[in-house]
Amino acid sequence: MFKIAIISSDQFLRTLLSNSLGLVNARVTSYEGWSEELIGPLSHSNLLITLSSYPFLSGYDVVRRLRDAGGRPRIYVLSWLHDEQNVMSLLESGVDQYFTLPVSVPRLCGKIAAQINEWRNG
Amino acid sequence: MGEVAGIYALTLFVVSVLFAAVSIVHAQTHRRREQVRSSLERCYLSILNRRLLEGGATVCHFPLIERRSSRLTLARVVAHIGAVTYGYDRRVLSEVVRRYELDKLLLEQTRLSGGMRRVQWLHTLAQVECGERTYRRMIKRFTHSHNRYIALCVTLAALNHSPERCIAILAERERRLSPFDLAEVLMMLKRGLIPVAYQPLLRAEQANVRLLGLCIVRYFGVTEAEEEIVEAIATSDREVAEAALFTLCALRLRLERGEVQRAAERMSVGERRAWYRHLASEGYSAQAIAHVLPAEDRGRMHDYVEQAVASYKRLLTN
Repeated sequence: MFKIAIISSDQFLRTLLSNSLGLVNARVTSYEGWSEELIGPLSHSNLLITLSSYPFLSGYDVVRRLRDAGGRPRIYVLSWLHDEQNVMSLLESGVDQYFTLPVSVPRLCGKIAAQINEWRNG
Repeated sequence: MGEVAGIYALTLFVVSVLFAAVSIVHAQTHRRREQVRSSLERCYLSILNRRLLEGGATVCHFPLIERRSSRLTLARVVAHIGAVTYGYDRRVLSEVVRRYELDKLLLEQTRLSGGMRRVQWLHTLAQVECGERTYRRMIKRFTHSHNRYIALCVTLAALNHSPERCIAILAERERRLSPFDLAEVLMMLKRGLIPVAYQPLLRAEQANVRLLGLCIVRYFGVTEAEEEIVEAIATSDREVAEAALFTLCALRLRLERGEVQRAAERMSVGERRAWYRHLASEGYSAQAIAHVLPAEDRGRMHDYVEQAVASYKRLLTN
């Protein structure tokens, strides 16, 4: 089954996304924040949705660590930051998609459903 | 003497034990209430979100909704969904507000609260679709408030209630829109609640309307509005002129213009330094803007550019 991990300290958004993605036939797990111990379990997910961009911009190099741990999950970042410099930095650091809040949940779900189909068809 | 001291000590001991017991009970009650509120919030969010995604009848049923606290939680959920999402059927949320009279309840709660709590409830009220009567009552009560946050909430509520009157509402507003206020209005615009046509905003006479227009242009990177921005730089209103100048830089447009040079000359030393820092952070090199810089400021601009590059916050693009 397609595995999605949601990482957000905002409980409301975490619940909103978990509920919405529960409808797209995927196993959704949610976490309150990033930590060193999470890298292992997260690397086995197919998709990471995070609402904090700081791990990618702080020099922590999350993407390399995830890949070192054996996984190659796609990474979506949802954030209130919208300036080009931040978005470019995130994309350069290995993030696959960037969404600014407020977000269209039906559109996000549609995108993820397409991702799941692609994954199923190899 | 010893007996009196003993009685005092015993009394103090009993009072402190009682105080500790009351504090523990209060903390436990507060924690339990928070847990119930959090569970209810998750439950209501789940019900509403499922209905919004799957469609169907607009009527939703919520557990324990007869309680006032539950309805307040529901109101917060409705407002929060509206704030962080767009593209949902707004009729479902309006129906929930109307059916459980959440607007009336929020206004009542606003009246009962004070300080920042009042502002929080009013902000929640501004994010839900108010009925006509509640809206009128809110405007009547809060429209002349001296509190800037309350004034902002009233503006947001008015924009939410009649988005087609957007320009008129902003024009009638006496207080200037701060960058924080503009960001709040911009969020409404991004959610599709108010129209994005920037040209009438930039050509308007009222400062608030022009400031919003400039904010939209900056946010969406509308380089086609170059002419209107340059016109705004030449205006006599210092705040609008400064916002226009910063917008021109944010869009990385050409600065070799008389208007820019005159605006730079009008600035105080502090304002000019802030502008140089902005220029450096936007990626302008000292050489690229040499003609608008007075000779004595070129060294300072070099320093800002060097600092911006050394901090890895900016690569030079121009």
